[in-house]
Formats: sequence, C-alpha cells, structure tokens
Amino acid sequence: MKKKAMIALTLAAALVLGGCGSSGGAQESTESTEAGADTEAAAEESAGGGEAAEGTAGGEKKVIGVSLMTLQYEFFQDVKAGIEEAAGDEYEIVFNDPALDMQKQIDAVENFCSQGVDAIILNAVDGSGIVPALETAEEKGIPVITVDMKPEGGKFETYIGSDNFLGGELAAKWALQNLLQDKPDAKVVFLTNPLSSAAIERIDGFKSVLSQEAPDVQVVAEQGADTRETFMSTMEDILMANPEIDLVFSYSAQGGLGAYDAIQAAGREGEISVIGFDASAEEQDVIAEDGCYKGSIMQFPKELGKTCVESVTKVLAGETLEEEIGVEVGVYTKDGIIYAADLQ
Amino acid sequence: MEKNKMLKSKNWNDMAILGIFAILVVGLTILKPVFLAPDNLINVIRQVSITAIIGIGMTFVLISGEIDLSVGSIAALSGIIVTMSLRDGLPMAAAIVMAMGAGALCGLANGSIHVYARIPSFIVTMGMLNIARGLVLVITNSYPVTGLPDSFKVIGRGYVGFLPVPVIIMLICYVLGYVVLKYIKFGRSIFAIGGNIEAARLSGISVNRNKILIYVLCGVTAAIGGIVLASRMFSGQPSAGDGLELNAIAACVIGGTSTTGGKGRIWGTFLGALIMGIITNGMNLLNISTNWQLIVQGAIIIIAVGLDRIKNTD
Repeated sequence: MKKKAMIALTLAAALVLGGCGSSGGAQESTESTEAGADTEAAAEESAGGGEAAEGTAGGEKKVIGVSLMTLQYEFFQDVKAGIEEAAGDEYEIVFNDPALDMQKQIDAVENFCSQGVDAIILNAVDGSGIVPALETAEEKGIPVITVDMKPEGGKFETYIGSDNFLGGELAAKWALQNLLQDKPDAKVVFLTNPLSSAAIERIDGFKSVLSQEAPDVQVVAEQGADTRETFMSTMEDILMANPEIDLVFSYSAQGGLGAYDAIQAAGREGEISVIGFDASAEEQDVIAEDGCYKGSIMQFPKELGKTCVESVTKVLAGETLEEEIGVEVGVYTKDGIIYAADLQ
Repeated sequence: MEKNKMLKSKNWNDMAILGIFAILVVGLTILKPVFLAPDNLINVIRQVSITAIIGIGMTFVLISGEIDLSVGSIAALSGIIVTMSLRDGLPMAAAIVMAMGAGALCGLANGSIHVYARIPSFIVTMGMLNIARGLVLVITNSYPVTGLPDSFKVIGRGYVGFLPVPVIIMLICYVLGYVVLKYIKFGRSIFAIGGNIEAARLSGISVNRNKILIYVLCGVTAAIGGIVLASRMFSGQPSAGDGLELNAIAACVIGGTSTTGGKGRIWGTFLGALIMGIITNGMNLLNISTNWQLIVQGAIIIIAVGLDRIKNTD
C-alpha cells in the first residue's frame, strides 16, 4: 500500500511539474512572438502617429503603455474604458493584457521601456512579482502610475485605488443616518475575510465612524469566511447566538448575499438590514426588491482609469503626486447612488 | 492485561469518537447554553448535511483503497445543471435527474479511466477536479445562475414537520448507504477490494466493475450534495463546493474510515461531519475568530486518526 502511495505521489509530482514546465515553455514562446508583434505594431502605430502629427500642425502624441492584470472581469474592462476615454486624442495607448500571468506582464513592461513610452499605467498581477519590472522602468526614467494593486517595492509615482477605508466609513455613515437613526445602542455584525487587506480596511473604516459618531453601538460578532455558502453557515450560527441584530456589514458581495440567504431562511428580514460591498449585479437585483438588503458600496472603475490618465498628465508636466490617491466610492441603494458629499 | 485489551479493542475506538463528540457537546452547552437549543441543533445538522451526503460516496471510495478529489467540482457542476435547467423551464424532476446523471457520468469517467488506463485515482480525480470546475466556468461564463422558480427552495430550505428537507434527504441517503455497505454483496466486495485487491480478484470479485460502480456512486452522492447546496443558495454559484472534497475526506477519517482501504463505517462519517460542524457552530456561537477554528479543525483530524492508529498498532 505504501509503495503504491509513493508511486502515486511521484506521478502526481511529475505530472504537476511536467505540466508547469511544458505550459510555461509554451507560454513563453507564444509570449515572445506576441510581444514581438505587439512591439512592432506599437512601433508602427507610433510612427504612423508621428507622421500624422507632422502632417497636421500639432505636436507629437505622447505614448502611454498600459498593462492591466486581466480583462476577464467587467471591473478591469471599465478601468480600460476609463483610460481610453480620458486619453482621447491627447495620448496614444499601447495596451497589454497579461491574463493574470506575471511573467507576461514583466515582459510587457520591459517592452514598453525598450519602446520608449512616455509613461506606464500598471495594474500589477502581483504586488511583489512586479518589483523587478518597476526597477527596469526606473533605469529608463519612465514614470509608472499604479492602479488597484499596490506594488510592495520599487519606484512608482503614485498608487491609485478605490478608497476601501472610505467605503467602510460611507457604509457606516449611511447606515447611521438611514437605518439606525433611532437606535443608539444598535447591534452590528461584521463579515470579513482575514486573508484580504481590503476587507480589513473596509471593516476598519466602518468601525472608525462608529467609535466617533455612535460609541454605544455594539459589535456582537465579527467572523470571516470566503464563499457564499460558508458565509451563509456562519451567519446562521451568528443568528442563533444573537436574538437581537440590527445590521450586518459585509466586506464583499458574497458575504452580504450569504448573510441575506441566512436571514431570509430564518425569517428575520423584518429586523435585520444588510449592507454589502461591490454592488455586484446580483446585489443590485436584491436591493431593488426593497427587502432587508439595503445597500452596497460601489466602486467606480472608470473613474480609476480617468484618474490614471490625469496623473500621467501631471507627472509629465513635472508635478509631484501624492503617494496614494483614493478614488471616491458611493453607496448603491434602491434610491440611487449616495456619495460622501451627500452624507455630511 | 484486561485494560490493555480494552485499549486495543474495536469498541474503544468507537468510544473515542463518541467521547470527543460528548466532550464537545457538554463543553459547548456549559459555555453557551443556546448551543443545546433545538433550533440550533437542527441548524447544525442542516449545515453538515451536504458534507455528510458527499461523505457517503467518499466512504465507499476510501474503503476500496482509493480517493476521489473531484467531488467538490462535481457538486458545483450538478448545481449549475439543475439551476440552468430550472431557469430554462424544465420540470423539477427532470432537472434533478439530469444533474444526478451528470454526477454519475463524471464518476463513470473517473472509475473507467482509473481501472482501464491504470492511472492512480489520485491523479484521475485531481484531473476531474479541474475539468468539472472548468466546465462550470465555461458554461456559466463565471456568472451565477439566478431566476429560479420558488418551488426549488424546498430542497434546501424547506421543512417537513420540524425536520429540514436536507436533513431528511441525508437520512435517506445514509439508510441506503448503510444497507448497501452491510447487506449487499457489492458492499462486501468494497471491503474485500480495499483489504487485499489480489485476494479479492482471486476470489472471483470483478474488481474493475466494482471500482467503476463505486466512483459512479460517489459521483451521484456528490451531485445530490450539489443540488441541495444550489437550493440552499437558491442560485447556481460557479464557485460552489470549493474545498468540499477535503471536508468530506475529513469527515470520513474522523469517523474511523481508513485512508489505506479495507476499513470504514458509514455512521462514523456522519459523526465525523457532525463533529466538524459542531466545532464551527460552537466557535461561531462563542464569536471565536475563524483563524482559530481552522487550527482546531486541523487538530481534531489528526487526533481522531491518531486514536485510530493506537488501536491498529499491535
């Protein structure tokens, strides 16, 4: 039996390693040709652009290299759309989609550098893996604007992200004004994920408003989970332990929807309100039903993209940017989107 | 002498698991009396029902000396099939049969490839884990399936009297599983194959056919779990059932089923699932951080198997 298990393990290891090796190799080779093609195309384009610029009286167009971790999700497609809109006729965009492959993204950044783009907008596949590529850009003196994923080192002009802390604060302010206004000693549940730094910032934002504006509000439970089904089970247990709950704030859509499932199944939707995060399509449907799902924090990916291009303009004009730029978020409710300015 | 014999008797091992169970129940009741409230007990059994159902097929597979890592993905696939069929207006019975059929087909593929291509079950089912999950993502384009008829809620959220429907489904599956394993020739063959595959072959048991059937059964229980899960979520979630295979295996080994085959019992799996469910439930009731829950669950798995080993080393 032991021998058999060993053989199985060895085979498994061989399969995994072999699989990685071959697929890695394949990707590399296709990547280099792709990258080559990209560079050529970009060179042609920029040459074309240059000619056009010469033809008309205007100056030469500046080129921005853009690499977003993936285009698989709507969120990143919207970031891209925001960048393209803001770039308009002013900039030429050379776009790269590494499809979550760190190596492809590093190659892309190196290509941007050898191509001599004027600036790079970068949404890193991985915060630490991208550092060598940032060093390459630094050597060439090309400014890098990072968005939605903060590198763990290297030089970049600024980091632009949705303000997670602000998202938590907004959720708390909106809840205090619209759901808990008559309940100074309301009981609140947090659903979080200990593995996500964004989750911790969001919950901390909520707590900071509570400690300033509603110190008597009690946090009766704070639990982590990851999928909708585990959030549902967790919420069932919390419901069991706490006969009185007024509000659930979840760091994600999955958490909010899992809690919503549990509250519905327990028949306590008259008593408990839910606020989620992300304003996913499913959340928007549930919020529209006007039940106990009251709101969800909405990010604005197009705004992120726009802010990136604005930052490029500032950097190229010689301005120094703030280390971090937080882009506004809002509360998606059945009555529309509420912004920070509406909640003073 | 007498005591030593006691320690190594079969009963002692049974007692050990029941002992862990009893300590948990008494301890939690003292710390948090609401634990023993009928509502909460029913809540726990309902929460563990999915893992427990999937654990039945897993028990069969483990007793035969093999493993099935694909059950979580098969559960997701069947959940997507049942919800998509219902959304497109198929009657409930047809949708459920299709989803269970998909589970059976995945199991058939697992078993056939394992016995005919002679690829270890660890590898085959690890491949199926990815294939089934990939299929789910391709079919759904990563979006959840919603817009289901209200009648589908009954399976995951309904009650008959005070018993939740998922618990009833689980009990029926356990009775069937118990009968098959204990009283049907096929069930006894599973033990024979897991105990000594050559001896089983020589004694005229059709090892290949039986192994394939075991995987088909495992696929079907995974599908049943997936259907209940989809109904509980009232939607087809592409990420559903992620990691369920490990929960099911943990339930089996805590319940005394050997990972090297030849030994196991169906009710032990239920108890194993229940012990894990009680730990999570109890710690949630006490508002203990999720991080600690993982540590305790891991420790329980090792302790349970450790006790099993004490008994087996003569």
